[in-house]
Amino acid sequence: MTTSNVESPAVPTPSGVEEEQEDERKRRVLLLILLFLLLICCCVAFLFLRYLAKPQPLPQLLPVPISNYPPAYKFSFVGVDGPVGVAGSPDNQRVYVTESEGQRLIKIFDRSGNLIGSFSPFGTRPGDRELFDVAVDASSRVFVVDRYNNVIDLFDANGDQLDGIIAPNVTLSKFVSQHISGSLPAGTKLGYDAPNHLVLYQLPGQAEQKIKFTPPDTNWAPLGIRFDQQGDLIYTDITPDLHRVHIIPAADLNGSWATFNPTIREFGSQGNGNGQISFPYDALTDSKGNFYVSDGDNSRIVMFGPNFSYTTFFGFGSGDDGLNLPRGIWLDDKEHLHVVDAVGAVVRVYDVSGTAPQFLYNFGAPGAADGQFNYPIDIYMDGTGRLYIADRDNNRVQVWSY
Amino acid sequence: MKKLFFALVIGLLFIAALTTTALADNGPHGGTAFTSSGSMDACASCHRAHTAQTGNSTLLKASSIYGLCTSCHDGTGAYTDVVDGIYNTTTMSSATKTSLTNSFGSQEGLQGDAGAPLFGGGFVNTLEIHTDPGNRVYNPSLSVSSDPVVSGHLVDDRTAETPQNVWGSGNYNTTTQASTGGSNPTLALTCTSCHDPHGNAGQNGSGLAIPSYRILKYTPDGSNGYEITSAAGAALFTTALKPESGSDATSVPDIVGGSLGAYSATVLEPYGMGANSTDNYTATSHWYTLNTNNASGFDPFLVALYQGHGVTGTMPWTSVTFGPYDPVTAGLHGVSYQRPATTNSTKVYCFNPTTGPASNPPPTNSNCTTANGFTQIGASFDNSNARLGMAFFCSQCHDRYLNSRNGLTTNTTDLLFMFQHDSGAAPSAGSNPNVTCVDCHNAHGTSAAATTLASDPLSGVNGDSSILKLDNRAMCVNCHSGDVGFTLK
Repeated sequence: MTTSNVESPAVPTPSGVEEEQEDERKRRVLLLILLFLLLICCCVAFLFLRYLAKPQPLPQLLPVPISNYPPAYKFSFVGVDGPVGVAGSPDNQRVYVTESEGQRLIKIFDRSGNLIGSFSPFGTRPGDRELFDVAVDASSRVFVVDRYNNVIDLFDANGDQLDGIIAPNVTLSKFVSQHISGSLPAGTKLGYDAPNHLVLYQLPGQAEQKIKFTPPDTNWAPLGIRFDQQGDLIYTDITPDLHRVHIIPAADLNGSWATFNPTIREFGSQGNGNGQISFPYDALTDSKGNFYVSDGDNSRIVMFGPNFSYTTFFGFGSGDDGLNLPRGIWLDDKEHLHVVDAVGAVVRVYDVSGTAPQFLYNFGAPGAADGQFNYPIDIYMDGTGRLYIADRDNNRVQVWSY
Repeated sequence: MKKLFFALVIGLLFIAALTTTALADNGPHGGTAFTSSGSMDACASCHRAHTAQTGNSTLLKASSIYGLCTSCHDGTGAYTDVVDGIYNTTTMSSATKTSLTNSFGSQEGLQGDAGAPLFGGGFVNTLEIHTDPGNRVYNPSLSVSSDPVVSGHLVDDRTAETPQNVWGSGNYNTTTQASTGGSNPTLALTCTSCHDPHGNAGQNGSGLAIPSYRILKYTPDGSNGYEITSAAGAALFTTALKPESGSDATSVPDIVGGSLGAYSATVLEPYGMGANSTDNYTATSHWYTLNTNNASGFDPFLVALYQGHGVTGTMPWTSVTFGPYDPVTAGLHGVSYQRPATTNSTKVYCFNPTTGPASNPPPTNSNCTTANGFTQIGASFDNSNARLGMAFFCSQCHDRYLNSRNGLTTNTTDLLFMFQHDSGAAPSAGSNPNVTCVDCHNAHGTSAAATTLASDPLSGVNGDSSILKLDNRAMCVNCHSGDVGFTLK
């Protein structure tokens, strides 16, 4: 009898199987890591080679925005005469630009800078209007300040005039409704001729009518307008000796303008002391409820707390962070305050997210070349991070991007 | 690689940060109180020591004067909007308005009211009544319209300074019966040609800088100094305008020395614009009497004289040689200077203060002590005689236009401007006051137009209204409707 010593095939023990599986898993993980590293190296190499071929600012090279770096100039909208105001639609597809020269229109552009259309306040000729700031609310309604007539005109997205605020608590529709003792039918055109103290209206199918209007409150000289996150309208007022900031609640703006009687809050006083302002151009608020006022003739930004109490000022002085003639301001979602310095011909950016405002950087320079400014006045940032800057004396709107 | 890349980027940003320009800033205008306690920050609102965008001693931080001025005076940073020619809001105190009303009349006294036109109009648009012949100035009860400027002083230097003809100046060519060379002198203007943004353009009786009406300069840039002076009254206007050529030794004395008929001279635009090389004084002497009893018109005149002509001379009563211009010497001795007979002529300029140092008293020549007020916009211009001051200011460039009421009947022998309407004299009360330049014209610009017949005959441009306040010749009808038999409706 022989004994067969045939070895049975090696049967992996349970522990051996696990080791093989573990090794395989490690190989795969390692391969993935290598592939990932290779991909990163390729990306870095690509960016580096791209930079060497055409040096550009970091934000433009990297796929995601990096904080605390200035934006890059992209291109310009042309075909505007002395642009002084710029704002965009909520869907980021339209840009509205107010002109101070030429025909003095509000022009509508698409994102590429193609002119879509233009409009102007009803019943006015170029010499009868002096358009400045513009803002668009969440409903795509366009608000435009006409400095000449002391009015905040209201248009729909296509430029049809809907109404206008001609005194702190008087709208065109309210005044005309009271005059005709009835509601205004849809399609009624409304306008204002301040030098001759006339309100214009034209009912559908009828001839234009004029009504004498004596402002009930002469302390009314709006200049800059912005919307806050709640849709409240913040506007500056440069009535002599009464320079200040007003806030119209969103509820009043979204209600019937024929019964317009807002509860307006206001703050600030005229002067150059703490908490005082002189020719404020723009005012806006941050996520904490603080207010920032572009204090034009005092060459600074004045900050107020949520309860309108004076907090501090900044941007005053020499050096990179010093403002010459601050005009339009804009706060981005990182709480970086962009200030257009009209005479300095730059945009100065301050970080106001912390306990104290910190200067970050400037961008732009005096001149007429790409990325240079000649009396920039207003600024607007859309939801994609694009900056639009009204470059008045270069007759263009510059587009920058982070 | 990644570290290298970021190191490279950070390095580049660091370099960029180092190369960013440093700017000094703050405050608009200011400059009226340069005291040790006053803030000098205001200087930096317009000027840069090392990073200026304009030269020629201005060191402006902006690329153009007009652009810098209108960054505020477009309605956003000042109440006077020179772009559209309006007061955005009421700007004047009641006292100022009262004095202006006294000078200009009740309607002009409305200047400074919110929504009213700027007295000088605008550079892009103006608010005009246009055609109402009964109201040459703004009246809030009337319908007005704002229209583009069609005639004005071109001051926008954002692209290039454009020389413009200075109508009513220059020499007269008797052959062509036109201004020399067929055209008038030209000047390139900007805001600061007439205005001093520092607010110290005027001078008081002691020669000290003082604020002036609308911060207008003592004399416009380019006018080369004083050409025209006037008596406190209308005495000097008994004769007509200074001839641009020929001798005034006989019947047409110079307007400046008109009351001093014992002296005469042949004058070829002695120190006016554009004719400096044609001085040709042949008479023995001719007295120019300026600024009696104070020196306010004194130094600027000498400055212009020296700068324009390089004049040196000898004080006739002391034989002290003067020049090149020395304001200290002029101030000490400042009475009378005689041009040396180094050319073909002798010329005496008589400045006539009544006081002087004991060691160097004023001359005793009675002609030099004749009272002869020298009213200039910076010297004695105030709101109570604003109309007259503006007339003299304008006349420093448009020097052949200034005329008294007698110019209606007196031949100036200037064939181009032989007879002229009253265009500047001492203010007078009554129902028929003299008129001055600004009664009919806007300094900045006007939207009033002139059709073919009424177009400016000098410019020859159809529609050019010569910055008149009303269309065509409505300005004439404004005062003379009764004279010509018109019935106003």
